[in-house]
Amino acid sequence: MSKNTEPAPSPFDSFNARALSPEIVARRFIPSVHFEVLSRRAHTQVIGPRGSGKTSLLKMLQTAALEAWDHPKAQGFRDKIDFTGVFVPTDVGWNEQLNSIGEGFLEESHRKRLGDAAFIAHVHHALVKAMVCRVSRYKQQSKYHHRRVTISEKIESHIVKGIATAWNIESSIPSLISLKHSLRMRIADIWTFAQAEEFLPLGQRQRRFHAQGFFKPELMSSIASAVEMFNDGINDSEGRWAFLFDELELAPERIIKQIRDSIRSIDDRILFKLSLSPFSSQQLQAKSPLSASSGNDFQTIQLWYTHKREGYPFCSELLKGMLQDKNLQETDPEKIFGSSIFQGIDDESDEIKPYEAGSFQHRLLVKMAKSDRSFKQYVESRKIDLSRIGDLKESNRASLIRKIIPTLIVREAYRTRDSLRKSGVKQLKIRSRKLPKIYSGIPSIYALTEGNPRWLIGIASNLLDARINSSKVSSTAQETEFLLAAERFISMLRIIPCTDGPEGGRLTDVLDKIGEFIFKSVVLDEFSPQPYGELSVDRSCPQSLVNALGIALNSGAIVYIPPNKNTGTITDLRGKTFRLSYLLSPYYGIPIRKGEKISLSRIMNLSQSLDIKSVSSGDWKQLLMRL
Amino acid sequence: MPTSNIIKVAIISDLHAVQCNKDEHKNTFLTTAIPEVDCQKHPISGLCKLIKNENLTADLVICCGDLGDQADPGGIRYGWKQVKRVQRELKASVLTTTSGNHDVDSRSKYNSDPWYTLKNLQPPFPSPKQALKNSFWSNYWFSNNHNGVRIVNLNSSAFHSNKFQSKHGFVTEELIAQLRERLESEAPGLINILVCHHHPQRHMELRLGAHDDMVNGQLLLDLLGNSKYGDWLVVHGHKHHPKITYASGGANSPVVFSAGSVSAKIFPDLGVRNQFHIIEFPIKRISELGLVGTFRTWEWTYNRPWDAARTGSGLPFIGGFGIREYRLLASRIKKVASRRSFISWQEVERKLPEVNYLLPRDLKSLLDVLKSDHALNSFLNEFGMPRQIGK
Repeated sequence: MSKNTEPAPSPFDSFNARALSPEIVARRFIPSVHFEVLSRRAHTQVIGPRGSGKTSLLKMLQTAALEAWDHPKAQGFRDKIDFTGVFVPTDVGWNEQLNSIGEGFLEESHRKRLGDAAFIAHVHHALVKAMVCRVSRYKQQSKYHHRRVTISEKIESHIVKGIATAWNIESSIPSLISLKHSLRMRIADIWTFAQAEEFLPLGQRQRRFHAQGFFKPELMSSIASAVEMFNDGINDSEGRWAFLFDELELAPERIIKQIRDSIRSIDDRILFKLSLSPFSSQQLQAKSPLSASSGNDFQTIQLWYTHKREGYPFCSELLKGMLQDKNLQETDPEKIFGSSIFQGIDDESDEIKPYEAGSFQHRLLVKMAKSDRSFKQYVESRKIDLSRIGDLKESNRASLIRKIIPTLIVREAYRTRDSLRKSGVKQLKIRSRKLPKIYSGIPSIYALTEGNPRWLIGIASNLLDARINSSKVSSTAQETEFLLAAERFISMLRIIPCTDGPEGGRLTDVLDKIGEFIFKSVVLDEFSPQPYGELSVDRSCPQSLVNALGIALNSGAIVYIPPNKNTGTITDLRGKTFRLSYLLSPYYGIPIRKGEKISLSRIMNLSQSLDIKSVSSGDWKQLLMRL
Repeated sequence: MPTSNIIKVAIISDLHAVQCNKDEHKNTFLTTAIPEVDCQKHPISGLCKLIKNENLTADLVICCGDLGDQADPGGIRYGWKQVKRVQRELKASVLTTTSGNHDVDSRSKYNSDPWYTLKNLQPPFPSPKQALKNSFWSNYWFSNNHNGVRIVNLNSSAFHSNKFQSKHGFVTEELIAQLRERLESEAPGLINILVCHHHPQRHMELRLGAHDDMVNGQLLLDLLGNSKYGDWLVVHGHKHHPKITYASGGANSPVVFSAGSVSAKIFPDLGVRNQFHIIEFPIKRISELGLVGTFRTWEWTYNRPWDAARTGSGLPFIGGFGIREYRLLASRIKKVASRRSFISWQEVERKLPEVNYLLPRDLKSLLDVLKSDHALNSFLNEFGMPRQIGK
């Protein structure tokens, strides 16, 4: 497996939907706008970092999930989805097995044949499993139905015999469930055959390979013929089937190529819905099934939110669902987690909060003008009368005051009053607060978790489970949990090397420099209404660093800010703009908002001269505590 | 006559409990050191959790002895407490427990009376009824009737007080004569169960040996196989190797159920796991077919919850007993499946309910005959039960 296809680390992996049955996924599924798009009758690629819900989205297109789904919007989706989902997991462990077939003793050509046969058998098994889910005789009584069919044993037998002949497989009984069982056995037979080859004479290998039935079927034609046989059997010749390939970038490249090559030629009864990580290597991207078919009708779903507010409705519903699951009487998240200090003053907010004397905003501005010399200069240079900001026109207040409030809150949280040394050189002090009470409450929780359901579920579960004799979760508990989550995330990322990077160190060294730089820009430097918060990756960045940042992107540690919506996967980070994940904001002490853009190489160069660099050495939390 | 349609009998056997300060013990998973709140490591707590989760109930609980291990008094007392706990969880009105060789202080290590610990258990062992208790300790057996189910509790460890006798089970000819006399004097029950610790017939596969067979066991089984005394189920423990067979003899020979151990560390070569069983007797069917029934089995491995038994770990999750003519059934199944592409096993069960009462080994033979004689294939589910048959 190449470095670019390595799985990105993820905190809260126990909440991974990969191991969950469709019925369990359906139990908690909250339909987002992404699901609306995914459920359309079109080829689709779903792109998102780890934990962003790719697997859940795909799994929910299966008949078993749709029939188990109880939600006010569920029937609408059951009525709308006019295809049968065939979920094909391409998980890491399975792929490793696939790659290891015959490793060390078989020629590459034979290994490829075995790998392809195993993959095809895997897809066939998934397809028959989906067919079984459609047939009433195999279903238990349930409240909801999706695309169920009732067919006689004779017709089922006819379908199975046809498919078994096409796929060169024997089914002991001419039933779908027996065929599924035979396909499971075929997968096991392929492994057994490969292992046995190690000890058999090389001379007759070609003949032995030729004799095996599992090498006969070709992926696309075999699934097309099976779909046709089933459709004809149930009198629905135009019935559509969507193949849901999860984490497709982990599949063998030649398989990806097969899918790509087939998309243009395949009949319109077969759809492809794929999940991918945001970053794929150049080579993979070139072979990505959908990227090469730009003329085709396919959609891209981007599972991260460039604008944090876009994720709030989904997060809110997800959190409400969790509160209901825990049988809490109070199901309003804000009443349990409180409101954020940024609530209502966010620069993206349409709400106008009072700025009159005595208001929170007014008190903050006055306090900072007294304690922060550079801010005072900002106020004076723009001739802002702090006693009359309530009278300012809305447009002036938005441009001069409201947009700087989030920066001031963070600055105020980490700075003490400017003071002078005896030598007369200005000396800055940083408060030694461990928990500055700026990373808690609604909607900050939504922003910090980036609309990533696995992060939100993991953090909220821990917080709700840790409550003792109280219905509310304190802001201290929330900030502690977020800091712990960020630390866990950082320690997972710490293993990723960027060998020929600027310092020959680890990915986290680079992330630390970015985080420290933004902290300096927001808190330590002269006050700026628009401090740095975004970075662009230069053309001159070494490949190893770009690869490491690619893993950071796939794990969600950095977030891509595309110039347009739905730009798909990216093959090279160079020339693109990113920001640190808001989940890392408490760790670095930086705002939960975007900022001015700066190039990565400039950060690297400037960070050499940072005073704090020498003491931080990759552990920013330590620095904050020491300061 | 029983008042309900189904009589459920739970079987828990060979606990081998010990009193010690350490979680780990070479012979058993059940030690007093393991907290009862730990349902993964405490096998009986885990079993109670299974009972609760699956809403399991029983009319009668049978324990085939070996409450403790190597006569450890604290272990025996703890094992007894755990058996009563299971009875409570199952809401069973009756508990029949017999004595195992590990419950007898045959070397007089703790007391000069080898049965001192058992005789002084609280609540009283094996029965709170003084007459039954007296009979158990003086005659080494008693018979009792519960709601139409006749139960004989036999102490096959009765002669374990010396070094030679402690190596095997024993039922005396006098005892068999006493039992015959009783059976002659009573009308046969619809369901007749004899409970003992040792195996009354040879049980020596997997190198289990023949040294510990119950002396005169075959005479006992021959007696019970006499049709005028009713149809019998014999339940025993000791071997830790779950198995169900028919005793040798005629068509009326007893069903012999060798119970698994719920918590002893099992010799790995046996290839079985700790098991717990519930037998169900369908009263109406028994009136028509004789003594038939089904059983379910759950298995346990250390640090895991109890779960439905998988194939190859002892007795299967689902099985039956009582119908011995599998070839006849195969012919009838062929008729049911004729002119059909395939047929679900559920439909076969509906049309020929007798298939439910085949021993697991006879069910396998039935499927073999269906294939060889009638060209009907089958495939099995994860528990080894047929799911469909067809051509």
